[in-house]
Amino acid sequence: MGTIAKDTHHDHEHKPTGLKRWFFSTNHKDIGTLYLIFALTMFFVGGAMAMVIRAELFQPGLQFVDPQFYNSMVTIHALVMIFGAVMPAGVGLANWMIPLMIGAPDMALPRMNNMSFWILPFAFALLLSTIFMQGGGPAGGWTMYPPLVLQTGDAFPFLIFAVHFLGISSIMGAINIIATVFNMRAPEMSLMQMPLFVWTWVITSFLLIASIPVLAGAVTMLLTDKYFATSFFSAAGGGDPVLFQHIFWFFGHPEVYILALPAFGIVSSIIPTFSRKPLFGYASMVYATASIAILSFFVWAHHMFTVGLPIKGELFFMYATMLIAVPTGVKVFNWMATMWKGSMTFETPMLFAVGFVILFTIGGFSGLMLGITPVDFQYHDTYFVVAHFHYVLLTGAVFALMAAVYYWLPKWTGHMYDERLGKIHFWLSTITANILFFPQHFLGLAGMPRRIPDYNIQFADFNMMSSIGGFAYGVTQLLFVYIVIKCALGGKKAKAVSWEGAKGLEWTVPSPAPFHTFETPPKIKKGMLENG
Amino acid sequence: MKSTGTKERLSKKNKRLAIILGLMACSFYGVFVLIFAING
Repeated sequence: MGTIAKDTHHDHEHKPTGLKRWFFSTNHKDIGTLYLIFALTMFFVGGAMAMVIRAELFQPGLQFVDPQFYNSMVTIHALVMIFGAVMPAGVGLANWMIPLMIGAPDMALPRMNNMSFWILPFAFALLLSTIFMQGGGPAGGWTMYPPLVLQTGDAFPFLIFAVHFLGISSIMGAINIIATVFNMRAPEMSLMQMPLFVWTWVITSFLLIASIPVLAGAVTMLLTDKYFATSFFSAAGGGDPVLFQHIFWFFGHPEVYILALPAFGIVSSIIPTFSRKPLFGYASMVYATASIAILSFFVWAHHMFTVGLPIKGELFFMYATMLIAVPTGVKVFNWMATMWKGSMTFETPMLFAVGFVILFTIGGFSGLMLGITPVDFQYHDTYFVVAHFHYVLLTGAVFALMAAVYYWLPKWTGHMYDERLGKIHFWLSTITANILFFPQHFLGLAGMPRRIPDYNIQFADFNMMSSIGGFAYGVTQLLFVYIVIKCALGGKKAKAVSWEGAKGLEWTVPSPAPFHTFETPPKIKKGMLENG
Repeated sequence: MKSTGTKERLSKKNKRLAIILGLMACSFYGVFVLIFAING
């Protein structure tokens, strides 16, 4: 371990400074940092939109915004959170950690890495500028269903090009990750020795390459329908609007796993560390992740049970959806089996990881309910769906991302964060997120539709509760920013192995990780990778 | 440190893989739009 740490301190330690360092960076750690800062900024931009939504829904009637602007907030909130916050945060972690975890000196294609990041601010400038345009921002929902989305004003081409740019950025990121893992791994590390986080990112990258072009194709067809007189989705011209839904969800369901699989990888790294035990069932975790990814291409129509599919089709998609519960169950079982009889401690990363396992599973169960065709006829397009995907994405993906930040912050900054504040952040986040989203299940079951700024008086109490939870969750996240900044600026010095049970190549380099690492491929010692 | 030859070989290998994966993505996009364009 010591040898490797020393090797990194040679004359290559020089690094560019000032704006040049960040604009022209080809260093995986700097680009990872850029991604993470960008994702956090977008988390607050999307969060501010969520606050507008919850303020409007605080009481029945129209309070603050007109319905068009409300729908625009709903649409852009989703696009910002999915493409601007959760995905870039995952890519940021991948950039920072994958080379360190596999003993590579950098990402395989560093210049492309720079480009994939710097496309993002331009794409979001395009998207966010639409709010100020004639006719307002896109308001047809993030799913962009025609014919509704074709009524968008000047914002429409901006939306389409923003989606294209985001797709290009994601595909370049995915290519880079695959090339890094396959070509740059330490020679002694076999594929089945790689940490689960790396595995989940390899599988996610293949999902990205296979699914993002489908979205790009769909939105290109929307563009030509609007401006070049084609009729892909126009019934009047012989097309079919339902075709768009099929194409969109062929991308959209794998997209759910693009957001969730890296979260599985993070949790699979954290739970063994704080249980002080190797990951239970490493190989089955890899196969389960791959199975989830493959199955995700065969379940798309469970998002559209109510469009009038043939009964055989509905049955197929219902059973295929149920099938995904099997590998997901394997994962949850393995996380619990890892903790079983472990010497567990509950530092903030572990709290977020355990919180993830419990709350993501709640989201998984409500997903199973939605996957049952006859039941979905009641739940479809209600707040039950909103509750479901926020459990999966917020208390699921975002909790895992928070866990990852706390876990690797000592490695990034060289300081330990304030553990007491971290725990306060976890408990406040967990309590407020549940106040925010749990009542939405009841609203949905009682029939409250989603994407509507006004509602019947019978839904008032649960909506008020949900809004209070929303505001409190939003304020709580400011504490997270304070903790991260405080840690970056100083605090207790972090050791190379920042956590007692931590194993893996990333813990063999000093904290903070030097600008250049693993220029000489590391030697892998026995037990070094046993956490999985 | 890796020798220059090894570095170049690795760089070529990376670029080759990136091109293959990029072409895969482009073909998903192209074939997809083309199928619907022909059907339409």
